[in-house]
Amino acid sequence: MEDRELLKVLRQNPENGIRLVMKQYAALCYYIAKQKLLDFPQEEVEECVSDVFLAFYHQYTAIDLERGSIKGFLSVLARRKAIDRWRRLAGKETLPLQENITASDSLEQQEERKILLDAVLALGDPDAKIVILKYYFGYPTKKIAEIFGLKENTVDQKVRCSLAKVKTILEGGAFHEG
Amino acid sequence: MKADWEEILDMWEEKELAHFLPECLPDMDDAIYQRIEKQTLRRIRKERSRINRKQIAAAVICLVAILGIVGREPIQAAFEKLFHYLPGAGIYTNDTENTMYRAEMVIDHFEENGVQVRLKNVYGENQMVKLEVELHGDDLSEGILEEQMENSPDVFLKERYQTVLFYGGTEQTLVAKKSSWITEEEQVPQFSMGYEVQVENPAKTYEVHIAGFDSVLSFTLVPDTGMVQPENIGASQTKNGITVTAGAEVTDEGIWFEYYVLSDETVAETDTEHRFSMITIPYGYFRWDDVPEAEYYQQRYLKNCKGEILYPKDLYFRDDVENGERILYEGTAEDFPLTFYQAALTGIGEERETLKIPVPVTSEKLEKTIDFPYGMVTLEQAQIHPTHRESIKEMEIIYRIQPKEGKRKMYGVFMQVQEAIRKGSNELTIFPEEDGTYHFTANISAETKEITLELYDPYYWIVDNYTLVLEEPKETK
Repeated sequence: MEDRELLKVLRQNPENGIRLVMKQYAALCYYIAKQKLLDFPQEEVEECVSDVFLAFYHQYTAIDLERGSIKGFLSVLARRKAIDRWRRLAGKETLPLQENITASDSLEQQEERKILLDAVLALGDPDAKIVILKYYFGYPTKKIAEIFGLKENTVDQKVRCSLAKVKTILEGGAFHEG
Repeated sequence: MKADWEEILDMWEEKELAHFLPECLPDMDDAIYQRIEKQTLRRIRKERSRINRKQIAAAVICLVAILGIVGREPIQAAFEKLFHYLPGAGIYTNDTENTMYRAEMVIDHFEENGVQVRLKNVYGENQMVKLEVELHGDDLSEGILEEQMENSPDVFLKERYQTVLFYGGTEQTLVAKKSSWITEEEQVPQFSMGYEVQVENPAKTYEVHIAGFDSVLSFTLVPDTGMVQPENIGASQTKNGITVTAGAEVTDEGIWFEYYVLSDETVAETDTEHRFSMITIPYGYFRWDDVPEAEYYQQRYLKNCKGEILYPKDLYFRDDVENGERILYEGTAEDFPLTFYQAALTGIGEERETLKIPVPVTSEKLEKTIDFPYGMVTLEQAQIHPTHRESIKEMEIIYRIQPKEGKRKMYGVFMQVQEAIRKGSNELTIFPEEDGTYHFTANISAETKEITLELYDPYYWIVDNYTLVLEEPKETK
């Protein structure tokens, strides 16, 4: 179902709308959460995905389809909810990440995000997509191999190689800020 | 770079991620999906029920403030004196202490600069004048809106569109008590504001000036003793102390239909989605998945003379008004007589019962009964389930609800465990299992030896349907 139709159903009948959005995107959010919460029990992952859709239920009116998509909005929400939970479970810190995902952050953070984006894009296709599917979206290697018509060990090799390149660029490359 | 690459990845926003959004979405285990869906929908429903309870609490506080009274009995008395305002018809009330005022409209709408402005829900109660102003126009957001909050329905009008009320030589700038904003692709944006103004003697003529418009809205409030009867708006039916009344008028747009539910009880009527999920229980158990959209129309529908169900013309041709709704349907005068059907309504009691229950090691029979006015709750079993944390266990209470004889039948009750680890783990369980039992769970500390279970706000449905026949449309204004 198209995003516009989903938003229309959400406005007319939020509960039905949420069910449709979950049907379409629960697995996407699940793998994002699972990737961050690998060391914790399965219940935590499931609760985290439920948190994502509850937050989406509160925030979907903020989605601007001119600027983004439900898929993008949910992906960021899932990642942030997962990090928040990971920090709590690991006893790292109690301050949650900015939950309002439409809010802007500091200039320094914006700069760092841009540098990383450029570094990943510099890998070219399909390596850039493969590394993000693996490290952001948590896709299993088998699924990535299917998508790109590659062998599983080729995918693993590409991920290792891409990661090394990104780190090299970030640590001393052309994007280094004095 | 200060941060590790993965930490920066964590901070990515939609605009960075947009380059990599996967077209091919993954699959997941169906059992896991079912668990997540069930958990999420339960939490959403729980929130909605809390919102309902907040609205009820707000109504109580409001009444206490108006009448200057406190305590349980006066609050109940205040509820019994609830009056009902029927736009276009007047006030229907059994209240002899409060003075009510109905509005006689002088100018209730105008159109200027492509914006339609409408005055609605105007009435007075004691020294309070209440009114709503609705704006409808294509360039509303560019033309008059100052700001719309992100993640919030709140919107603010530009200063030059301030609303000012003139009456009896007084000029008062209004501050909205509530506002709503509706905008959607291919829909004309609509914005409405609700105002309450303290006036010593409301029986006056008022002018509403909205800066930016030359035209003025105007109305006169006159004392109303509640002589206007609900039948006067079309057709009416009273059963079990609840009156359902409806009327319809034919315009160029279609059939404007209005209905009102008049009850001294707290009726879970205004939250159609919440009520919808509960009301069908007497007609058989169902899973949410099984509810087709058509089922919705079995709760309340309008049929034409051929017996065909009429459907609302559009979601946004629908007004929430005091005690009811105004809805625009596709149709003409040829569709009359119309038949309006309203399924049994849900009432909410104010009772609260508390009891202590020992925490069993694994499982224990309870056999405790709690008496409510319209049903008996029997607690059958307490069970303990481990969680993934050793220090926390889940206590499950299995219970049944046996409705009593009569026209009001209990089918749900809120529960809360005072010792629950997460406050807010209160729940209204409305879906029984297939064997007729209800299950309530709360996470408690592994150290807890006894819990204090509270049962409150019993839900009951008021067994009677309403069928009203509207022989002909009201005279079109």
